[in-house]
Amino acid sequence: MSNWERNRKILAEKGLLGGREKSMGDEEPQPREICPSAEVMRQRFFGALSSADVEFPYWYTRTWNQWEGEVPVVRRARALKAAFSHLSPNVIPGEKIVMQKTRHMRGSFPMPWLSESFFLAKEDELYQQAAACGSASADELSQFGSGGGNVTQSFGDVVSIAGKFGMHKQEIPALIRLAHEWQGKSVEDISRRYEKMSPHFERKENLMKSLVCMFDSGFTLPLGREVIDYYLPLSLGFEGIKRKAREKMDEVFGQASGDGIRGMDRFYFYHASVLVVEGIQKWILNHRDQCLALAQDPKISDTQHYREIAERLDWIACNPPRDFREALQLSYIVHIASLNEDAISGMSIGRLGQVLWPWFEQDIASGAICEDEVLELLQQYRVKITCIDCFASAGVVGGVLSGNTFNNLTLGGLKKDGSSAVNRLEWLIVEAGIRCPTPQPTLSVLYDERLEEGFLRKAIECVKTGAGYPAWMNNRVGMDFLLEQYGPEGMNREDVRAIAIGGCLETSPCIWHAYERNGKRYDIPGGAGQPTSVGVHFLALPKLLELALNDGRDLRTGLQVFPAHGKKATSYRELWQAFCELAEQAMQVLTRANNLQHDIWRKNNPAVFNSLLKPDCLETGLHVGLMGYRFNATFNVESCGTANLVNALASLRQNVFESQQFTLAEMIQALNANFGFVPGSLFERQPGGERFDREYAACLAAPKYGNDDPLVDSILVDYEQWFARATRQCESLYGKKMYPCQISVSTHGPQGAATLASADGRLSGVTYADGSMSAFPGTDRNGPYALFESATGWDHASSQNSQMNLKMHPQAVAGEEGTRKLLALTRAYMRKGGFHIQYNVVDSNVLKRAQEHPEAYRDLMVRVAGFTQYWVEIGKPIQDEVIARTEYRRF
Amino acid sequence: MRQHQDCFYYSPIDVTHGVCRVSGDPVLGDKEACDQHRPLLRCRDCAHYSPDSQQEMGICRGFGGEYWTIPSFNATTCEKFAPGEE
Repeated sequence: MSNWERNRKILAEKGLLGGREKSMGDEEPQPREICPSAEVMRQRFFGALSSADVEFPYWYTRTWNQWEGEVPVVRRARALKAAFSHLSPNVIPGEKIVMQKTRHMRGSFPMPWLSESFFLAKEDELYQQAAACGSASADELSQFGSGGGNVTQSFGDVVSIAGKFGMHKQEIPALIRLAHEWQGKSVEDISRRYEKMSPHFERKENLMKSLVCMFDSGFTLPLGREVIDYYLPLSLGFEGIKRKAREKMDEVFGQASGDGIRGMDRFYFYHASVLVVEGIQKWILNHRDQCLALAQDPKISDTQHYREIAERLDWIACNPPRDFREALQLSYIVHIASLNEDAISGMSIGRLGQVLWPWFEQDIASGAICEDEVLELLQQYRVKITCIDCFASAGVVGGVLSGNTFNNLTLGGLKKDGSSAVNRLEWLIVEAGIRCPTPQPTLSVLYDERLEEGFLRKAIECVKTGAGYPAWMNNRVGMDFLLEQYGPEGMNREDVRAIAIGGCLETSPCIWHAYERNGKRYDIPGGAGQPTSVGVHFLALPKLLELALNDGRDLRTGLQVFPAHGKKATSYRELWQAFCELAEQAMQVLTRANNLQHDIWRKNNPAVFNSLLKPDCLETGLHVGLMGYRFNATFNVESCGTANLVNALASLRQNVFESQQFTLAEMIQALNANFGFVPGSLFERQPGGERFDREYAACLAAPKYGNDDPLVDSILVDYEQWFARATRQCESLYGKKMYPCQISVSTHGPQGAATLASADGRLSGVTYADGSMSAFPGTDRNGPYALFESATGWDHASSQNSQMNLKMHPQAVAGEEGTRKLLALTRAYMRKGGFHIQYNVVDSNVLKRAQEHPEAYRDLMVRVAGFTQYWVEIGKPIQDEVIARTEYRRF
Repeated sequence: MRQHQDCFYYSPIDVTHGVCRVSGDPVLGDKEACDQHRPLLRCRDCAHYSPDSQQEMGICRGFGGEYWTIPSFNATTCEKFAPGEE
């Protein structure tokens, strides 16, 4: 029996093995085969549970306690160093890209210094205290898929933690102990103490409990939705970084250098940087030592493989990479080290094809590596990135992330000189994405008219495999947004061309680094900005309209979220104003609360490793919390449910204020009665529910967004212009104006669940439309070009992003003709000024069968809202929404 | 009972199973180890470790003073590990 067969046997014994019928159209050529080594890894992933352990938090906490009284940034660095140094090494057999976040292939761990209660058993007193807080409300309405690697129930010796992660029962006593040691000291607890002093505390709590807002960002995911920068490790190596930090320590010791507030902090940051890098070096060298021991063991057959890995790790633990293999391995280690420092989703890879181009180009030219080996490494890399989990609460991981961690890889765009940036390595990255279909890294193409037609067709070929990637982002629109937002911080026309996508589709500021290899000069792009999608996340727009209609009261929870005003709108304009006033109040209250949380985070939990990676922290000696990054105006306000809001406003305007078919009171009564349907049911009526049939029919018949309808589209334009203004009235803790971010991720599920029926005919609890430019499922009846007309009546560059999902039946894009048409469709949207579009190429019948028989669809992937995920790991509300999306069979 | 997960050759994939580096086979971590077993160092094997009154926890004195630990922690990366009595 081969290893592969044995692997399948044990997976079958665990009930984790699945196979499935093909979902693609029969006439479409099947994707090229995945390389055998990556397939072994992928099959292992399919059998791997999301596993958590306490090794990292144990050593972190123990050392943190030991250094009480130390300067906070240095104390944290010592804790991080100890944690990295003591992680168990595990070089998994057959892997050429080695190491992972923890000893488990798909591992993560709690960070009780951020938040220490959500992962405890429900009987624990700490858990119960936390459950009473507004910030825990999202957990109740968030659902994980019950399949794949999600551990939604305890079994055997495995305890289910936070509804998703499995931990061995031996470690549970340590988990509980760690949580209690951080009680009252975590960022969450300290923030809460201060939040209670706010005059708006009760309203903020009610906004969270009613799920107007989905989550607090300061202690859940304080970093991420940004682009990492690999430049310093790649160019200096870890020893070079330490050398530079030590030189700076000598230079700045005891000097304020004109900055009486932050000047003296620099010394401590440099010292902290050296400590953390030492910890990461030890982590790498522990893996080297394991390889050396295995290479010398007579029982091990593949000793040459371990010897090569040991030599590679030995070198890059200290030095800059010498070749492509080392460069890719080092960039990956830097990535997972970054993710181990904080709870992070969406630490995006950026433009990897351009970052690694100097090594690729020269190694290929010299014959040091061939394209087949690069393709194998890139496929293994895909599996390694797919294994990245983020340990956070059910509301965050299930309700927002759907288990994904958004390690987005950007392709295309322009070089510093304005020419197309596409290179041969980017072609291979796309090819690896075709051959090795995995959710991560998801791919994003920065569409620009200057990109080569052949590359665009290659990317469309990848889309047609049904992988859901690449997504398409409008390079020019993105650059316009960045120049407007970061111009005041010095961004110029050359910088802006380094643009990349962080997280799902968060346009992120980057810069170019000059790099020289063997006498040839290159410009390497890298992230240069603070996290985005921190601030206010997410605002449930239809829920806010519901509160505006009900005098500020949330009927689901019975909470008076906003003060009652007792007024009923007598015109559409008054209703619109009432909505805007409530939304602006919510934004202000939530912004201030989140500013405070992030302030506690930066004071007590400053990022050291993440800081030193990005410009200009190592130059200035200031970490991210002291605005050491080049660009700091990154905080934003995220929205959810745009299409439902716009449709509901159109319906109210037409049915109540223009035709006067109903009074506003009659309509509100119908909405609050769920149009006479039993809550949670799409068919069952309440006794006497028929009396709302007229209202229900009128709401369903009202014009809908996505059909090139002037009334609805003008409402969207009004909304977008208001949202762009209102968000910029909010100020982040860094003193910068905020801006709109219009992606739903997965929040349209739980926030829809918390919202009563809306005037667009959507019933109570039904998931909102995804994204922001997607139509509500089934309501876009005039084809995609009409949808594009509706979506582009406003300036997309006024927002960090917008999000459009389209679902295509495979037959609609079959063959060469289909490729041509899909590229033309994409180009049409980009040319009209749309920022983003992505496709699910899938037959809805396959999705329905997958919902009935998930065990047979372990490898089925779908595009949700900015990311691709395995079907079986997505909660049912989002599955239902993806099934319900309009399926285009012709266009 | 000696288990696969206590073996130097065990490469953990998740909380339940791993891969044996000698045979290449996937194995369940809590199953009885084979005759190729090479013990992995744990806190409970260390001279600085002593059991706590609470059965599942222990005390580490390896870094000066006392701090709690659990017996099953991997000790291969611990700079203070000292072999205990058999």
